[in-house]
Amino acid sequence: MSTTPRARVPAARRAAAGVLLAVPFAVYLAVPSYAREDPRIAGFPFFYWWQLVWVVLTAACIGGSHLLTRTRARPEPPAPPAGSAGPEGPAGSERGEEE
Amino acid sequence: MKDVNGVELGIFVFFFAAVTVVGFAAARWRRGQTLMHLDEWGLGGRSFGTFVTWFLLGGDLYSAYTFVAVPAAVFAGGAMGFWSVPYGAIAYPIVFLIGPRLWSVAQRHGYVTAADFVRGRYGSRALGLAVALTGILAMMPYIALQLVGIQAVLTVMGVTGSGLAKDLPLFIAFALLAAYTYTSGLRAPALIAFVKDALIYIVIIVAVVYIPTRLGGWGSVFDDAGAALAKPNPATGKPSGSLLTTDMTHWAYGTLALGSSLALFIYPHSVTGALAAGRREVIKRNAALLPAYSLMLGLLALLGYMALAHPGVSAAVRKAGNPQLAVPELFDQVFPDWFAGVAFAAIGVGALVPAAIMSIAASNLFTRNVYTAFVRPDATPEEETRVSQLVSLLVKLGALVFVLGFDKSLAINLQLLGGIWVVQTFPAIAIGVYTRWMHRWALLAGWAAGMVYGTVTAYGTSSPTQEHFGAPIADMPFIGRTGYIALTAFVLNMLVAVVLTVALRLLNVPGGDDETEADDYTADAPERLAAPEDPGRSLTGRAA
Repeated sequence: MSTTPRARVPAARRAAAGVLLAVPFAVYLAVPSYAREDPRIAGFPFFYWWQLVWVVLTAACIGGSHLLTRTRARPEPPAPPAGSAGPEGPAGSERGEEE
Repeated sequence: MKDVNGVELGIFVFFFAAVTVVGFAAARWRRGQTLMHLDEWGLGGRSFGTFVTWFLLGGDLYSAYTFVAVPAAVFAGGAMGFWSVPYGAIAYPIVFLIGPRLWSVAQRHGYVTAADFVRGRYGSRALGLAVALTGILAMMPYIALQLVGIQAVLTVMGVTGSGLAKDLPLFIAFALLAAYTYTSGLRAPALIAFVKDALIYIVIIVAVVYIPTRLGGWGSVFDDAGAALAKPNPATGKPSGSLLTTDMTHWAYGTLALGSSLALFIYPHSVTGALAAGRREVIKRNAALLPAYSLMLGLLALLGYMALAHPGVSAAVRKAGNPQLAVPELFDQVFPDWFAGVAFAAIGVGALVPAAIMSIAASNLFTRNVYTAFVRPDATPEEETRVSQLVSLLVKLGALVFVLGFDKSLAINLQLLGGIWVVQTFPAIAIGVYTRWMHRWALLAGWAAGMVYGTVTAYGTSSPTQEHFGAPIADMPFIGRTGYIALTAFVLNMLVAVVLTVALRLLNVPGGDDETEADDYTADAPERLAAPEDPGRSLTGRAA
């Protein structure tokens, strides 16, 4: 319940996030490793489909890194309507104004 | 040359006119109290959410660069032209690392440009000036690239002539762009970006689904293109390219991708697009979402192979001697006239939106870091905005110089030339958001070394069609391979900056005042009303 806006992210998660961000560089800069014709997929030589697939995987790496390093768990849920305490009432009462 | 295609031109002009109306109307969109403040004119009120920011930052990758220059490079050189795909991917981990921190510190201190940040971080107006002038300089060839794209479309539609008449349509398009950028500021390209992306998505999807079926499927597109590339080029007697990178070109491929990815986010227009975001989270999300644009970029690049595989198109492009015509010719010959018109409109509008953002970014830099910093320190916000408006016109004139004065045989080289310069500001900006260790004079010296080395080396390259500034790649010292000049210059820049930082620190040379604090770099926006496109956002969050 500290009031500092940024809780520290555990070192292990930060390291994992860093690795995720480094992976696309390792993949793409190893040019000779994918300068190959075969195997083809749907007519695309390996050189082309491999790089296009990794565009999507790069997005996934960044998204994963984002999830690992988020300091606020998630946007605060809207306040429950008055009177309708959730099914797990006691847990709900724990929730204060601050995270 | 050939007759004007009335249907194509009619549809093209229709979309252009519609976009112009939207551009002028944008001044009223989500209007703040006054447009005469740089936060409003130059950053759209710093209020854009994930959705608008996606379109605005995406304008960066989806420009004439994507539609005309990249396919032209693939058409002309084969696999070597495909480096923009790794570039478009690995740029985003870098955006993810520096974007949110830059956004946070900028919104805490009211920075409008990256040079504002550098000046505040290092307490050095000179370093801010260096970053600003580099940004302005680098913007011009990039804007010029957009004009080359519009020119290519006009040529294929048959709008050609000689002398002044040849460039007149281009000037008209440009004057319209200048006019609504002047009145509406960043809101104009942000709003037009919706129209532009809708058009572009339709065209891309149709193109990558329909055209290969006309050419016998993707397999034969690659086979035919590979065969065409293997034929000796009459000018050099060597094959013009290959389907795969070779031992000779691996390094060039990798360094072009890496060097360009360092440049992507510190280009002034990217910074402008990012700082216009309303929340820190918006930048992080976009870093993960924007690679989707690069996927499309990759498919578009392959339009270059489709043009090679289509006998009529490749013959027409070779006859004209201008690979930039590859995609417009392909659309012209494969699509019915009305759809070719839509596609050309997509390219034309797709060139104008980035050109508008770029000219706004360059003029923000001039106003904040040259005019206010050195000429009129007490300029009012109104005055700043007025200066920015005027400079946005001048920047476009500067771009015309690049269009008229530079070799357009491979337009992508214009963007790569800008990259050589802008990458030299990477240490001050991107390393600066993490550490203050670097000394301001060391950064300045490193910048100067990189700029001089990069410019001189680029000047010394020649191509069959041009004596100077002929290529973005040159021999890399110590490695002995050919690589992107920007990266070599960047390494030199860093070496100078690090060595001098150590020396200056040993000599206790004052490092200047840092007006930022550690928690500025992780701060979020003060709580305010939810932006319209984020209706779900809680209004009762914690106080800032």
